[in-house]
Amino acid sequence: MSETAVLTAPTATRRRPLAAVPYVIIGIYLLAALFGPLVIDFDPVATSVTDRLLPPGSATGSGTALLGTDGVGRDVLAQVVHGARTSFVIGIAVVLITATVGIALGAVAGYFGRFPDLVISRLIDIMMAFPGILLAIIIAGLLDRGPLVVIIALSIGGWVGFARLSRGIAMSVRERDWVDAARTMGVSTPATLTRHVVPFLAGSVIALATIELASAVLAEAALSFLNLGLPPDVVSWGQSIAGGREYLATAWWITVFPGAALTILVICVGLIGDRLTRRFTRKRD
Amino acid sequence: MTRLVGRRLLIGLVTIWGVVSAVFVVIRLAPGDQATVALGPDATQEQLTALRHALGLDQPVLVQYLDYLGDVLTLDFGESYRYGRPAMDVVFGRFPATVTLTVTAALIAICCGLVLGVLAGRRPGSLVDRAVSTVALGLQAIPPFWVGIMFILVFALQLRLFPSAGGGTLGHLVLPAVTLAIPFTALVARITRGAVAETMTESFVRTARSKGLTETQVLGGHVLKNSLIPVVTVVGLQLGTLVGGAVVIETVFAWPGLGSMLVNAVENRDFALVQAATVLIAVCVIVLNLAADVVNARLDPRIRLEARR
Repeated sequence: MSETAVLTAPTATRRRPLAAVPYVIIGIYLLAALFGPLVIDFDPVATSVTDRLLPPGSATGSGTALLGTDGVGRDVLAQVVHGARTSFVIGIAVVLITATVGIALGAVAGYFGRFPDLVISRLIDIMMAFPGILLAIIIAGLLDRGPLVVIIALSIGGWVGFARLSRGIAMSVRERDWVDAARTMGVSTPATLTRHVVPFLAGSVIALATIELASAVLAEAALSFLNLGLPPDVVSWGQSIAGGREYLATAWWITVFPGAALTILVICVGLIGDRLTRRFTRKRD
Repeated sequence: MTRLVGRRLLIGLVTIWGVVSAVFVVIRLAPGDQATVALGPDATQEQLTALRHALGLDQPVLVQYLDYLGDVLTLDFGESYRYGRPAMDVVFGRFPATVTLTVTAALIAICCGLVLGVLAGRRPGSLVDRAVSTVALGLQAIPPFWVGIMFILVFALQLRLFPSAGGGTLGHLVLPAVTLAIPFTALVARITRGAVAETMTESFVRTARSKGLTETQVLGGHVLKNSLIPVVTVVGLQLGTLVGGAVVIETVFAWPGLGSMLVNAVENRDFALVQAATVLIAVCVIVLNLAADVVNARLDPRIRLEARR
Protein backbone atom coordinates (compact mmCIF):
# COMPACT_ATOMS: atom_id res chain seq x y z
CA MET A 1 0.00 0.00 0.00
CA SER A 2 2.87 2.34 0.81
CA GLU A 3 4.38 1.65 -2.62
CA THR A 4 1.32 2.83 -4.47
CA ALA A 5 1.29 5.94 -2.33
CA VAL A 6 4.88 6.68 -3.34
CA LEU A 7 4.05 6.15 -7.01
CA THR A 8 0.94 8.29 -7.10
CA ALA A 9 2.21 11.13 -4.95
CA PRO A 10 3.98 13.22 -7.67
CA THR A 11 1.02 13.21 -10.06
CA ALA A 12 -1.30 14.15 -7.22
CA THR A 13 0.78 17.24 -6.41
CA ARG A 14 1.08 18.26 -10.05
CA ARG A 15 -2.68 18.25 -10.43
CA ARG A 16 -3.13 20.69 -7.57
CA PRO A 17 -1.88 24.19 -8.36
CA LEU A 18 -3.63 25.44 -5.20
CA ALA A 19 -0.96 23.61 -3.20
CA ALA A 20 1.41 26.55 -3.70
CA VAL A 21 -0.96 29.06 -2.11
CA PRO A 22 0.15 28.63 1.54
CA TYR A 23 3.80 28.98 0.53
CA VAL A 24 3.08 32.20 -1.36
CA ILE A 25 1.12 33.63 1.56
CA ILE A 26 3.87 32.77 4.04
CA GLY A 27 6.38 34.34 1.65
CA ILE A 28 4.37 37.55 1.77
CA TYR A 29 4.30 37.42 5.58
CA LEU A 30 8.06 36.87 5.71
CA LEU A 31 8.67 39.80 3.38
CA ALA A 32 6.34 41.97 5.46
CA ALA A 33 8.10 40.91 8.65
CA LEU A 34 11.56 41.50 7.19
CA PHE A 35 11.08 44.69 5.22
CA GLY A 36 7.72 46.05 6.34
CA PRO A 37 9.05 47.73 9.48
CA LEU A 38 11.67 49.51 7.29
CA VAL A 39 8.93 50.99 5.10
CA ILE A 40 6.19 51.59 7.67
CA ASP A 41 7.24 53.46 10.78
CA PHE A 42 5.48 52.65 14.00
CA ASP A 43 5.97 53.92 17.51
CA PRO A 44 4.05 51.67 19.90
CA VAL A 45 4.01 54.27 22.67
CA ALA A 46 3.15 57.33 20.56
CA THR A 47 -0.49 58.41 20.68
CA SER A 48 -2.46 60.86 18.59
CA VAL A 49 -5.78 62.00 20.06
CA THR A 50 -7.09 63.52 16.81
CA ASP A 51 -6.58 60.26 14.90
CA ARG A 52 -8.51 58.02 17.32
CA LEU A 53 -10.78 55.22 16.02
CA LEU A 54 -10.67 56.24 12.36
CA PRO A 55 -12.23 53.67 9.99
CA PRO A 56 -10.09 51.96 7.31
CA GLY A 57 -9.00 54.31 4.51
CA SER A 58 -9.22 57.51 6.54
CA ALA A 59 -6.68 60.29 6.18
CA THR A 60 -4.63 60.87 9.34
CA GLY A 61 -2.03 63.40 10.42
CA SER A 62 0.69 61.15 8.95
CA GLY A 63 -0.92 59.81 5.76
CA THR A 64 -3.72 57.37 4.98
CA ALA A 65 -4.62 54.71 7.53
CA LEU A 66 -5.49 51.85 5.16
CA LEU A 67 -6.74 49.61 7.96
CA GLY A 68 -7.90 52.41 10.25
CA THR A 69 -6.55 53.49 13.64
CA ASP A 70 -7.00 52.17 17.17
CA GLY A 71 -8.23 53.64 20.45
CA VAL A 72 -5.18 55.86 20.92
CA GLY A 73 -4.75 56.84 17.28
CA ARG A 74 -2.12 54.30 16.24
CA ASP A 75 -2.18 52.90 12.71
CA VAL A 76 -3.62 49.35 12.54
CA LEU A 77 -1.72 48.38 9.36
CA ALA A 78 1.56 49.30 11.04
CA GLN A 79 0.60 47.13 14.02
CA VAL A 80 -0.15 44.21 11.70
CA VAL A 81 3.22 44.57 9.94
CA HIS A 82 5.29 45.06 13.08
CA GLY A 83 3.32 42.33 14.84
CA ALA A 84 4.30 39.91 12.06
CA ARG A 85 7.96 40.49 12.89
CA THR A 86 7.35 39.90 16.61
CA SER A 87 5.41 36.70 15.89
CA PHE A 88 8.13 35.29 13.65
CA VAL A 89 10.97 36.21 16.01
CA ILE A 90 9.29 34.65 19.04
CA GLY A 91 7.94 31.66 17.10
CA ILE A 92 11.24 30.81 15.42
CA ALA A 93 13.20 31.25 18.66
CA VAL A 94 10.82 28.92 20.49
CA VAL A 95 11.00 26.30 17.74
CA LEU A 96 14.82 26.44 17.60
CA ILE A 97 15.12 25.98 21.36
CA THR A 98 12.47 23.28 21.69
CA ALA A 99 13.72 21.37 18.63
CA THR A 100 17.31 21.36 19.87
CA VAL A 101 16.39 20.24 23.38
CA GLY A 102 13.77 17.78 22.16
CA ILE A 103 15.99 16.14 19.52
CA ALA A 104 18.88 15.84 21.96
CA LEU A 105 16.76 14.23 24.69
CA GLY A 106 14.79 12.08 22.26
CA ALA A 107 17.84 10.82 20.38
CA VAL A 108 19.64 9.97 23.62
CA ALA A 109 16.58 8.17 24.99
CA GLY A 110 15.95 6.24 21.79
CA TYR A 111 19.57 5.37 21.10
CA PHE A 112 20.68 4.33 24.57
CA GLY A 113 17.43 2.85 25.84
CA ARG A 114 17.51 1.47 29.41
CA PHE A 115 17.96 4.07 32.15
CA PRO A 116 18.22 7.29 30.06
CA ASP A 117 15.13 6.21 28.14
CA LEU A 118 13.24 5.47 31.35
CA VAL A 119 13.99 8.91 32.83
CA ILE A 120 13.27 10.85 29.65
CA SER A 121 10.12 8.88 28.85
CA ARG A 122 8.67 9.52 32.31
CA LEU A 123 9.56 13.21 31.94
CA ILE A 124 7.68 13.21 28.62
CA ASP A 125 4.67 11.52 30.25
CA ILE A 126 4.62 14.18 32.96
CA MET A 127 4.87 17.08 30.51
CA MET A 128 2.18 15.55 28.29
CA ALA A 129 -0.24 15.38 31.19
CA PHE A 130 -0.28 19.09 31.95
CA PRO A 131 -1.50 21.72 29.47
CA GLY A 132 1.50 23.73 28.27
CA ILE A 133 -0.42 26.99 27.89
CA LEU A 134 -1.24 26.95 31.63
CA LEU A 135 2.40 26.63 32.56
CA ALA A 136 3.22 29.41 30.11
CA ILE A 137 0.52 31.65 31.62
CA ILE A 138 1.93 31.17 35.11
CA ILE A 139 5.58 31.59 34.12
CA ALA A 140 5.14 34.53 31.74
CA GLY A 141 2.54 36.17 33.97
CA LEU A 142 4.43 36.06 37.25
CA LEU A 143 7.96 36.82 36.05
CA ASP A 144 9.16 40.17 34.71
CA ARG A 145 7.57 40.77 31.35
CA GLY A 146 9.75 40.60 28.26
CA PRO A 147 10.39 38.67 25.04
CA LEU A 148 12.94 36.36 26.68
CA VAL A 149 10.53 35.30 29.42
CA VAL A 150 7.82 34.61 26.82
CA ILE A 151 10.24 32.49 24.78
CA ILE A 152 11.26 30.50 27.86
CA ALA A 153 7.67 30.11 29.04
CA LEU A 154 6.61 28.72 25.65
CA SER A 155 9.67 26.49 25.33
CA ILE A 156 9.16 24.69 28.64
CA GLY A 157 6.30 22.59 27.31
CA GLY A 158 7.25 22.67 23.63
CA TRP A 159 10.15 20.23 23.50
CA VAL A 160 8.00 17.20 24.31
CA GLY A 161 6.72 16.68 20.77
CA PHE A 162 10.24 16.76 19.32
CA ALA A 163 11.51 14.40 22.01
CA ARG A 164 8.74 11.84 21.38
CA LEU A 165 9.32 11.95 17.64
CA SER A 166 13.12 11.73 17.85
CA ARG A 167 12.96 8.93 20.40
CA GLY A 168 10.79 6.81 18.13
CA ILE A 169 12.96 7.29 15.07
CA ALA A 170 16.23 6.87 16.97
CA MET A 171 14.95 3.57 18.35
CA SER A 172 14.42 2.19 14.88
CA VAL A 173 17.55 3.72 13.28
CA ARG A 174 19.68 2.25 16.08
CA GLU A 175 19.01 -1.22 14.70
CA ARG A 176 20.16 -0.41 11.17
CA ASP A 177 23.33 -1.83 9.61
CA TRP A 178 25.19 1.42 9.14
CA VAL A 179 24.89 2.22 12.84
CA ASP A 180 26.25 -1.23 13.65
CA ALA A 181 29.03 -0.66 11.14
CA ALA A 182 29.95 2.66 12.72
CA ARG A 183 29.95 1.08 16.15
CA THR A 184 32.16 -1.81 14.97
CA MET A 185 34.58 0.59 13.31
CA GLY A 186 35.03 2.30 16.65
CA VAL A 187 33.31 5.58 15.83
CA SER A 188 32.70 7.38 19.12
CA THR A 189 29.19 7.41 20.51
CA PRO A 190 28.61 11.19 20.12
CA ALA A 191 29.81 10.98 16.50
CA THR A 192 27.58 7.96 15.80
CA LEU A 193 24.63 9.84 17.22
CA THR A 194 25.21 13.10 15.38
CA ARG A 195 26.41 11.62 12.06
CA HIS A 196 24.51 8.37 11.72
CA VAL A 197 21.32 8.75 13.73
CA VAL A 198 20.26 12.41 13.95
CA PRO A 199 20.35 13.05 10.15
CA PHE A 200 17.49 10.57 9.76
CA LEU A 201 15.32 12.74 11.93
CA ALA A 202 15.48 15.69 9.52
CA GLY A 203 12.30 15.21 7.48
CA SER A 204 9.96 14.41 10.33
CA VAL A 205 11.50 17.09 12.53
CA ILE A 206 11.01 19.74 9.86
CA ALA A 207 7.38 18.70 9.52
CA LEU A 208 6.86 18.86 13.26
CA ALA A 209 8.77 22.16 13.52
CA THR A 210 6.31 23.72 11.08
CA ILE A 211 3.36 22.66 13.20
CA GLU A 212 5.13 23.78 16.37
CA LEU A 213 5.85 27.16 14.78
CA ALA A 214 2.14 27.64 14.23
CA SER A 215 1.34 26.74 17.82
CA ALA A 216 4.13 28.93 19.21
CA VAL A 217 2.85 31.93 17.24
CA LEU A 218 -0.66 31.17 18.47
CA ALA A 219 0.43 30.74 22.09
CA GLU A 220 2.41 33.99 22.05
CA ALA A 221 -0.64 35.83 20.71
CA ALA A 222 -2.82 34.22 23.39
CA LEU A 223 -0.41 35.23 26.16
CA SER A 224 -0.19 38.80 24.91
CA PHE A 225 -3.96 38.84 24.46
CA LEU A 226 -4.36 37.92 28.13
CA ASN A 227 -1.97 40.80 28.90
CA LEU A 228 0.49 38.32 30.38
CA GLY A 229 2.96 38.16 27.51
CA LEU A 230 5.00 40.85 25.90
CA PRO A 231 5.37 44.30 27.50
CA PRO A 232 3.34 47.18 26.00
CA ASP A 233 6.33 48.61 24.10
CA VAL A 234 6.59 45.50 21.90
CA VAL A 235 3.97 45.32 19.15
CA SER A 236 2.10 42.03 19.16
CA TRP A 237 -1.04 40.82 17.40
CA GLY A 238 -2.37 39.48 20.68
CA GLN A 239 -2.12 42.90 22.30
CA SER A 240 -3.69 44.64 19.31
CA ILE A 241 -6.62 42.20 19.44
CA ALA A 242 -7.04 42.75 23.17
CA GLY A 243 -6.76 46.53 22.72
CA GLY A 244 -9.65 46.53 20.26
CA ARG A 245 -12.04 44.59 22.47
CA GLU A 246 -13.51 47.59 24.23
CA TYR A 247 -14.27 49.24 20.87
CA LEU A 248 -15.69 46.08 19.31
CA ALA A 249 -19.15 47.59 18.78
CA THR A 250 -17.87 50.79 17.17
CA ALA A 251 -14.42 50.10 15.71
CA TRP A 252 -14.30 46.44 14.63
CA TRP A 253 -11.19 46.93 12.47
CA ILE A 254 -8.84 47.17 15.47
CA THR A 255 -9.60 43.56 16.43
CA VAL A 256 -10.50 42.06 13.07
CA PHE A 257 -7.36 42.87 11.04
CA PRO A 258 -4.64 41.71 13.48
CA GLY A 259 -6.75 38.64 14.24
CA ALA A 260 -7.20 37.87 10.54
CA ALA A 261 -3.46 38.29 10.01
CA LEU A 262 -2.81 35.81 12.81
CA THR A 263 -5.47 33.36 11.62
CA ILE A 264 -4.31 33.29 8.01
CA LEU A 265 -0.67 32.83 8.99
CA VAL A 266 -1.42 30.04 11.45
CA ILE A 267 -3.69 28.22 8.99
CA CYS A 268 -1.12 28.42 6.18
CA VAL A 269 1.72 27.21 8.38
CA GLY A 270 -0.59 24.45 9.64
CA LEU A 271 -1.47 23.39 6.08
CA ILE A 272 2.19 23.13 5.13
CA GLY A 273 2.98 21.27 8.34
CA ASP A 274 0.20 18.81 7.67
CA ARG A 275 1.42 18.19 4.15
CA LEU A 276 5.03 17.73 5.28
CA THR A 277 3.91 15.38 8.04
CA ARG A 278 2.04 13.20 5.57
CA ARG A 279 5.08 13.14 3.30
CA PHE A 280 7.67 12.32 5.94
CA THR A 281 5.80 10.17 8.40
CA ARG A 282 6.01 6.54 7.56
CA LYS A 283 3.30 4.50 9.17
CA ARG A 284 4.72 3.79 12.56
CA ASP A 285 2.09 3.80 15.24
CA MET B 1 -6.29 -3.39 34.96
CA THR B 2 -5.39 -2.59 38.56
CA ARG B 3 -1.74 -2.45 37.59
CA LEU B 4 -2.51 -0.10 34.69
CA VAL B 5 -4.46 2.22 36.98
CA GLY B 6 -1.74 1.99 39.63
CA ARG B 7 1.02 2.90 37.20
CA ARG B 8 -1.05 5.77 35.79
CA LEU B 9 -1.83 7.05 39.28
CA LEU B 10 1.85 7.04 40.15
CA ILE B 11 2.72 9.06 37.04
CA GLY B 12 -0.17 11.36 37.92
CA LEU B 13 1.14 11.95 41.43
CA VAL B 14 4.62 12.70 40.11
CA THR B 15 3.07 15.09 37.59
CA ILE B 16 1.21 16.94 40.34
CA TRP B 17 4.41 17.12 42.36
CA GLY B 18 6.25 18.47 39.30
CA VAL B 19 3.60 21.09 38.63
CA VAL B 20 3.39 22.34 42.22
CA SER B 21 7.18 22.45 42.43
CA ALA B 22 7.39 24.43 39.18
CA VAL B 23 4.83 26.90 40.54
CA PHE B 24 6.84 27.19 43.77
CA VAL B 25 10.03 27.96 41.83
CA VAL B 26 8.29 30.52 39.58
CA ILE B 27 6.77 32.29 42.59
CA ARG B 28 10.19 32.50 44.27
CA LEU B 29 11.70 33.88 41.05
CA ALA B 30 8.91 36.42 40.56
CA PRO B 31 9.69 40.01 41.49
CA GLY B 32 8.22 40.90 44.89
CA ASP B 33 7.08 38.35 47.47
CA GLN B 34 3.67 37.66 49.01
CA ALA B 35 4.26 40.27 51.71
CA THR B 36 5.04 43.16 49.33
CA VAL B 37 2.11 42.19 47.11
CA ALA B 38 -0.36 41.93 49.98
CA LEU B 39 0.65 45.15 51.75
CA GLY B 40 1.13 47.32 48.69
CA PRO B 41 3.82 49.91 48.01
CA ASP B 42 3.11 52.01 51.13
CA ALA B 43 4.04 49.30 53.63
CA THR B 44 6.68 50.06 56.24
CA GLN B 45 9.67 47.83 56.76
CA GLU B 46 8.27 46.65 60.13
CA GLN B 47 4.96 45.62 58.59
CA LEU B 48 6.79 43.74 55.85
CA THR B 49 9.03 41.94 58.30
CA ALA B 50 6.07 41.02 60.49
CA LEU B 51 4.02 39.63 57.61
CA ARG B 52 7.02 37.78 56.19
CA HIS B 53 7.50 36.17 59.57
CA ALA B 54 3.80 35.29 59.79
CA LEU B 55 3.86 33.72 56.30
CA GLY B 56 7.13 31.91 56.99
CA LEU B 57 8.95 33.79 54.24
CA ASP B 58 11.95 34.44 56.51
CA GLN B 59 12.65 30.69 56.69
CA PRO B 60 15.27 28.98 54.48
CA VAL B 61 13.95 28.12 51.01
CA LEU B 62 14.05 24.37 51.66
CA VAL B 63 11.92 24.76 54.79
CA GLN B 64 9.49 26.93 52.85
CA TYR B 65 9.32 24.29 50.12
CA LEU B 66 8.56 21.49 52.59
CA ASP B 67 5.95 23.68 54.30
CA TYR B 68 4.44 24.32 50.91
CA LEU B 69 4.31 20.62 50.04
CA GLY B 70 2.56 20.10 53.37
CA ASP B 71 0.06 22.80 52.40
CA VAL B 72 -0.55 21.02 49.08
CA LEU B 73 -1.20 17.72 50.85
CA THR B 74 -3.70 19.30 53.23
CA LEU B 75 -5.12 21.51 50.44
CA ASP B 76 -4.50 24.56 52.61
CA PHE B 77 -2.94 27.33 50.57
CA GLY B 78 -3.68 30.19 52.95
CA GLU B 79 -5.86 33.20 52.29
CA SER B 80 -6.31 34.89 48.95
CA TYR B 81 -5.42 38.49 49.68
CA ARG B 82 -7.84 39.76 47.00
CA TYR B 83 -10.84 37.84 48.26
CA GLY B 84 -9.93 37.71 51.97
CA ARG B 85 -11.06 34.09 52.04
CA PRO B 86 -9.17 30.78 52.01
CA ALA B 87 -7.85 30.26 48.47
CA MET B 88 -9.27 26.75 48.22
CA ASP B 89 -12.82 28.06 48.96
CA VAL B 90 -12.53 30.65 46.19
CA VAL B 91 -11.23 28.03 43.76
CA PHE B 92 -13.95 25.50 44.59
CA GLY B 93 -16.57 28.25 44.25
CA ARG B 94 -15.39 28.85 40.68
CA PHE B 95 -15.00 25.18 39.82
CA PRO B 96 -18.58 24.27 38.76
CA ALA B 97 -18.67 26.94 36.05
CA THR B 98 -15.50 25.59 34.47
CA VAL B 99 -16.78 22.02 34.63
CA THR B 100 -20.03 23.08 32.95
CA LEU B 101 -18.14 24.85 30.18
CA THR B 102 -15.57 22.16 29.44
CA VAL B 103 -18.04 19.27 29.66
CA THR B 104 -20.46 21.02 27.29
CA ALA B 105 -17.65 21.80 24.88
CA ALA B 106 -16.33 18.24 25.06
CA LEU B 107 -19.80 16.79 24.38
CA ILE B 108 -20.35 19.10 21.39
CA ALA B 109 -16.89 18.27 20.05
CA ILE B 110 -17.18 14.50 20.49
CA CYS B 111 -20.67 14.29 18.93
CA CYS B 112 -19.94 16.55 15.95
CA GLY B 113 -16.41 15.20 15.52
CA LEU B 114 -17.50 11.57 15.48
CA VAL B 115 -20.27 12.20 12.96
CA LEU B 116 -18.03 14.25 10.66
CA GLY B 117 -15.18 11.78 11.01
CA VAL B 118 -17.33 8.77 10.13
CA LEU B 119 -18.88 10.60 7.17
CA ALA B 120 -15.42 11.48 5.87
CA GLY B 121 -13.69 8.21 6.68
CA ARG B 122 -16.27 5.83 5.20
CA ARG B 123 -15.28 6.90 1.69
CA PRO B 124 -11.68 8.19 1.71
CA GLY B 125 -10.98 10.57 -1.16
CA SER B 126 -14.65 11.41 -1.73
CA LEU B 127 -15.92 14.96 -1.91
CA VAL B 128 -17.30 14.76 1.65
CA ASP B 129 -13.98 13.46 2.88
CA ARG B 130 -11.99 16.22 1.24
CA ALA B 131 -14.39 18.90 2.46
CA VAL B 132 -14.39 17.63 6.05
CA SER B 133 -10.61 17.15 6.10
CA THR B 134 -9.85 20.61 4.75
CA VAL B 135 -12.33 22.38 7.03
CA ALA B 136 -11.10 20.40 10.03
CA LEU B 137 -7.50 21.31 9.29
CA GLY B 138 -8.43 24.99 9.12
CA LEU B 139 -10.59 24.90 12.25
CA GLN B 140 -7.87 23.18 14.21
CA ALA B 141 -5.39 25.94 13.42
CA ILE B 142 -7.68 28.92 13.92
CA PRO B 143 -6.96 30.98 17.08
CA PRO B 144 -9.88 30.25 19.45
CA PHE B 145 -9.71 33.50 21.39
CA TRP B 146 -10.09 35.50 18.20
CA VAL B 147 -12.95 33.29 17.03
CA GLY B 148 -14.57 34.01 20.38
CA ILE B 149 -14.30 37.75 19.83
CA MET B 150 -15.69 37.40 16.31
CA PHE B 151 -18.62 35.42 17.74
CA ILE B 152 -19.23 38.26 20.20
CA LEU B 153 -19.06 40.76 17.35
CA VAL B 154 -21.50 38.86 15.14
CA PHE B 155 -23.86 36.98 17.48
CA ALA B 156 -23.88 39.28 20.49
CA LEU B 157 -23.31 42.82 19.20
CA GLN B 158 -24.81 42.62 15.68
CA LEU B 159 -27.51 39.93 15.79
CA ARG B 160 -28.10 40.21 19.56
CA LEU B 161 -28.81 36.47 19.80
CA PHE B 162 -26.67 35.71 22.84
CA PRO B 163 -25.20 37.74 25.68
CA SER B 164 -21.59 38.76 25.04
CA ALA B 165 -20.13 38.11 28.48
CA GLY B 166 -20.81 36.68 31.92
CA GLY B 167 -22.45 33.48 33.10
CA GLY B 168 -25.55 32.16 34.78
CA THR B 169 -28.03 31.33 32.02
CA LEU B 170 -28.01 28.77 29.23
CA GLY B 171 -27.68 31.61 26.73
CA HIS B 172 -24.40 32.63 28.30
CA LEU B 173 -23.05 29.13 27.81
CA VAL B 174 -23.63 28.87 24.03
CA LEU B 175 -20.88 31.11 22.62
CA PRO B 176 -18.02 30.09 24.96
CA ALA B 177 -18.89 26.39 24.67
CA VAL B 178 -19.03 26.47 20.88
CA THR B 179 -15.79 28.48 20.70
CA LEU B 180 -14.01 26.05 22.98
CA ALA B 181 -15.43 23.08 21.06
CA ILE B 182 -14.26 24.20 17.60
CA PRO B 183 -10.61 23.08 17.62
CA PHE B 184 -11.52 19.98 19.58
CA THR B 185 -14.26 19.04 17.10
CA ALA B 186 -11.73 19.34 14.30
CA LEU B 187 -9.29 17.13 16.18
CA VAL B 188 -11.90 14.44 16.92
CA ALA B 189 -13.09 14.54 13.30
CA ARG B 190 -9.57 14.09 11.94
CA ILE B 191 -8.67 11.22 14.26
CA THR B 192 -12.03 9.50 13.65
CA ARG B 193 -11.65 9.91 9.91
CA GLY B 194 -8.22 8.29 9.93
CA ALA B 195 -9.33 5.44 12.17
CA VAL B 196 -12.53 4.75 10.22
CA ALA B 197 -10.71 4.88 6.87
CA GLU B 198 -8.23 2.32 8.15
CA THR B 199 -10.85 0.04 9.68
CA MET B 200 -12.80 0.05 6.41
CA THR B 201 -9.94 -1.85 4.76
CA GLU B 202 -10.02 -4.65 7.36
CA SER B 203 -11.17 -8.08 6.29
CA PHE B 204 -13.88 -8.32 8.97
CA VAL B 205 -15.64 -5.40 7.30
CA ARG B 206 -15.68 -7.33 4.05
CA THR B 207 -16.99 -10.36 5.93
CA ALA B 208 -19.73 -8.26 7.53
CA ARG B 209 -20.73 -6.90 4.16
CA SER B 210 -20.77 -10.29 2.52
CA LYS B 211 -22.93 -11.60 5.35
CA GLY B 212 -25.53 -9.21 3.93
CA LEU B 213 -25.48 -6.59 6.67
CA THR B 214 -26.61 -3.13 5.69
CA GLU B 215 -24.00 -0.39 5.41
CA THR B 216 -25.39 1.23 8.57
CA GLN B 217 -25.00 -2.03 10.50
CA VAL B 218 -21.46 -2.45 9.22
CA LEU B 219 -20.54 1.13 10.14
CA GLY B 220 -22.23 1.13 13.53
CA GLY B 221 -21.50 -2.41 14.62
CA HIS B 222 -18.11 -3.19 13.18
CA VAL B 223 -16.32 -0.09 12.02
CA LEU B 224 -17.19 2.47 14.68
CA LYS B 225 -16.45 0.28 17.66
CA ASN B 226 -13.04 -0.66 16.32
CA SER B 227 -12.27 2.92 15.33
CA LEU B 228 -13.04 4.26 18.79
CA ILE B 229 -9.79 3.07 20.36
CA PRO B 230 -7.44 5.62 18.76
CA VAL B 231 -10.15 8.27 19.18
CA VAL B 232 -10.41 7.65 22.92
CA THR B 233 -6.61 7.63 23.26
CA VAL B 234 -6.17 10.97 21.54
CA VAL B 235 -9.21 12.58 23.15
CA GLY B 236 -7.97 11.48 26.55
CA LEU B 237 -4.54 12.90 25.93
CA GLN B 238 -5.96 16.15 24.60
CA LEU B 239 -8.49 16.79 27.39
CA GLY B 240 -5.75 18.72 29.15
CA THR B 241 -5.47 20.99 26.13
CA LEU B 242 -9.22 21.57 26.37
CA VAL B 243 -8.84 22.68 29.98
CA GLY B 244 -5.94 24.94 28.94
CA GLY B 245 -8.06 26.38 26.15
CA ALA B 246 -10.86 27.01 28.63
CA VAL B 247 -8.58 29.36 30.58
CA VAL B 248 -8.25 31.65 27.57
CA ILE B 249 -11.87 31.33 26.42
CA GLU B 250 -13.23 32.06 29.90
CA THR B 251 -11.30 35.32 29.87
CA VAL B 252 -12.71 36.27 26.45
CA PHE B 253 -16.31 35.75 27.59
CA ALA B 254 -15.80 36.79 31.23
CA TRP B 255 -17.10 33.32 32.12
CA PRO B 256 -17.03 33.09 35.94
CA GLY B 257 -14.88 29.96 36.09
CA LEU B 258 -11.50 28.83 37.29
CA GLY B 259 -9.63 29.99 34.18
CA SER B 260 -10.61 33.64 34.19
CA MET B 261 -9.96 33.66 37.93
CA LEU B 262 -6.48 32.17 37.38
CA VAL B 263 -5.59 34.81 34.79
CA ASN B 264 -6.70 37.54 37.21
CA ALA B 265 -4.84 35.92 40.07
CA VAL B 266 -1.65 35.80 38.00
CA GLU B 267 -2.10 39.45 37.03
CA ASN B 268 -2.70 40.49 40.67
CA ARG B 269 0.07 38.20 41.94
CA ASP B 270 -2.40 36.50 44.26
CA PHE B 271 0.01 33.62 44.89
CA ALA B 272 -2.25 31.58 47.17
CA LEU B 273 -4.96 31.57 44.52
CA VAL B 274 -2.52 30.69 41.73
CA GLN B 275 -1.25 27.70 43.70
CA ALA B 276 -4.70 26.46 44.63
CA ALA B 277 -6.02 26.78 41.08
CA THR B 278 -3.00 25.06 39.52
CA VAL B 279 -3.22 22.10 41.85
CA LEU B 280 -6.93 21.67 41.22
CA ILE B 281 -6.48 21.90 37.44
CA ALA B 282 -3.58 19.44 37.53
CA VAL B 283 -5.64 16.95 39.56
CA CYS B 284 -8.55 17.27 37.12
CA VAL B 285 -6.36 16.76 34.06
CA ILE B 286 -4.79 13.68 35.59
CA VAL B 287 -8.12 12.18 36.60
CA LEU B 288 -9.41 12.78 33.06
CA ASN B 289 -6.35 11.11 31.53
CA LEU B 290 -6.77 8.19 33.88
CA ALA B 291 -10.43 7.87 32.95
CA ALA B 292 -9.50 7.80 29.27
CA ASP B 293 -6.98 5.04 29.94
CA VAL B 294 -9.57 2.95 31.77
CA VAL B 295 -12.14 3.41 29.00
CA ASN B 296 -9.49 2.43 26.51
CA ALA B 297 -8.57 -0.70 28.39
CA ARG B 298 -12.28 -1.62 28.48
CA LEU B 299 -12.54 -1.14 24.72
CA ASP B 300 -9.30 -2.81 23.73
CA PRO B 301 -8.39 -6.21 25.19
CA ARG B 302 -4.85 -5.80 23.91
CA ILE B 303 -4.17 -2.92 26.32
CA ARG B 304 -5.51 -4.96 29.22
CA LEU B 305 -3.23 -7.85 28.29
CA GLU B 306 -0.21 -5.60 27.96
CA ALA B 307 -0.87 -4.08 31.36
CA ARG B 308 -1.04 -7.52 32.94
CA ARG B 309 2.48 -8.33 31.85
